[in-house]
Amino acid sequence: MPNPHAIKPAGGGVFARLSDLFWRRPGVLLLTLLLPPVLWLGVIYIGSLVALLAQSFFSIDEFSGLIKYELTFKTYLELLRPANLDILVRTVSMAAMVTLAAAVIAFPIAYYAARYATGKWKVIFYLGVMLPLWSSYLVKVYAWKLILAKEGILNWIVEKLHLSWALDGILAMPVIGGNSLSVSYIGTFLVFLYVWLPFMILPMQASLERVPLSFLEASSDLGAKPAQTFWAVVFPLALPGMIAGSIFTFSLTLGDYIIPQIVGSSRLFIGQAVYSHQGTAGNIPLAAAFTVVPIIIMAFYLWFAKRKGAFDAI
Amino acid sequence: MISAVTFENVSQHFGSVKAVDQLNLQIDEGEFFAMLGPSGSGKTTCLRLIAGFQKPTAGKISIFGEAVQDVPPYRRNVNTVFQDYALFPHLTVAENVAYALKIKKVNKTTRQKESEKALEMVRLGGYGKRRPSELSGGQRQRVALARALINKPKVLLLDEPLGALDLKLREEMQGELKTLQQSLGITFVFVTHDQSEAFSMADRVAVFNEGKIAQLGTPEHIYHRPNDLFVASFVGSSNVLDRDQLNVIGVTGEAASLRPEAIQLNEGGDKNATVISKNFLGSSIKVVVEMDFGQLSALVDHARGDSIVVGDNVNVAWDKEALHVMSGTDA
Repeated sequence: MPNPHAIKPAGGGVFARLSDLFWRRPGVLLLTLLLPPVLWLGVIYIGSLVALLAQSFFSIDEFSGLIKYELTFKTYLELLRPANLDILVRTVSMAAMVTLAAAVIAFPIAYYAARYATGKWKVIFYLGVMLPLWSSYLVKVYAWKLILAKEGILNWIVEKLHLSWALDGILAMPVIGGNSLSVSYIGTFLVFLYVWLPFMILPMQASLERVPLSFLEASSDLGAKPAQTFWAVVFPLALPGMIAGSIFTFSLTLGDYIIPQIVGSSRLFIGQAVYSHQGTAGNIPLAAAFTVVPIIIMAFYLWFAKRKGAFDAI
Repeated sequence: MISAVTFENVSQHFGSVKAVDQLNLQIDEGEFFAMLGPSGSGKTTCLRLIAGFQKPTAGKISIFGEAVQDVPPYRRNVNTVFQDYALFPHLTVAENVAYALKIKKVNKTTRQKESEKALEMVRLGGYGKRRPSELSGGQRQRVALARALINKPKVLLLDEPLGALDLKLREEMQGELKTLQQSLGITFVFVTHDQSEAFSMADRVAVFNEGKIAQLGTPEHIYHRPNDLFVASFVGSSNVLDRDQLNVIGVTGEAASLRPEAIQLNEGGDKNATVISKNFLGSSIKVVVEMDFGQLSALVDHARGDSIVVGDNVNVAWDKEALHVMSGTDA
């Protein structure tokens, strides 16, 4: 005779029945959870990206300004024209410099947070890193424009310190200099660096969290001086986080069109080129071709990082 | 003779906690030395002081006669097997083992040869190309051992080296460590909270309690002649009798220990005790008896124990020398 107390009665209602169904068929639960994001990312996002990229294989008729729907590499050849090539080189060098500087500045901060900060100090670290992300990006960029302007606070401090000669010397340098910091590449660089820095610190800190103190002790125990321990143990283990951070800083710099427009010389970056070509100029094929460049650069960068063993520790 | 490691009035304080307190210690060259004690007794701190991961608050530490308290770990000819092994996950097994050689800028061919030799020594020949994550706990332990031994250190430190292994593997490794130490002739200092591990491997054992050494001596000495109640109760499950109980049996003293296996059951004489429990332990049987002054536990063989039933009246006796009266009384 079955014991009536061995099984609890089935709960009534839709949710109880759903719970039973999900338990019996775990696949149904997985499908329910994954369907919305797959639709969103896979179909709407990737789909429209592919549609845009497909445009880069069309070209524009120079006389009518209409798009010719024939497959051609003509638009890509146009990217190689000196004016366009300048834009690519300028943007990629800026992104590389910003990424490198962000990695150098982020490391000590991330290292401190991972190794030493506990309790209250960890909260302060997270707040300090995240707080700038809470305010509008435009507000921050305009604030920087004011800071870097000729009449701005930075100039004032430099003057009070009697270091104007040094700043003038830097601004007198070709390419990176300008009338003031706010209209020079140095200014653009500083703002990029400030705005993207949290995206480098956080993944780097996460990867350093996974380096236990015993690794450092073991390295030292085996005869490695602190600098050797850094290069042989800490750096390789922090590398995946550094790469993750650099993907953010690099690709965000490659695609941004607001910062170079507000702070810097009037010379174009990729983002501005895309903006103007797909907007006023109506040259969607060229805009699409410009968009392909960062994607290819990132793909190549990741392939290279993987080949160099950057992800071995994951 | 110069001793391998010497502590002179060494203290290590963390705030108000005295992890190590005014400690004096000499470890001889070539000996297998165990630091035994409960967690928080200061044994691991002592090991870390020898390795150089910590600087003592006060006192002098020497390794082979040279004062080292101001010498960083990377300049000490001492290597450590860590409790969590601390194998570098981004390096292969061979690269881990050869790490110290790479730091010394030894060329690649020599490094490969030496690391393979060290791996063969711990019976892991041919495992060099694998990653630490692909090895079992016991194998990782051997890799950590090979890595620490490749530099031929003057002293090898082992921090709870067998703690993470299961019982069978642990017993196997105990034998191997002992053999390895004897063939290499290197001074081994190892930390453990497991008295059977300390006794089975060490030449001498220091029992730690609250930052001090409660007793130092050979395993036999510590087992049979514990200094005080703490040592007696920490080292195995001894019967401990206090002054009042000793009075009942006509012995004067503050406290005494009586080993369970020294107690004889039914070897003749009056029935002076009642059996209150009986546990089968495999090779022996544990019998707890109630006497006029309290309870005693006894370990007896099957010839004696099999016929005993709970509730039986039995005779309990022991040799006079088996009762060890202790000087110290602090528990």
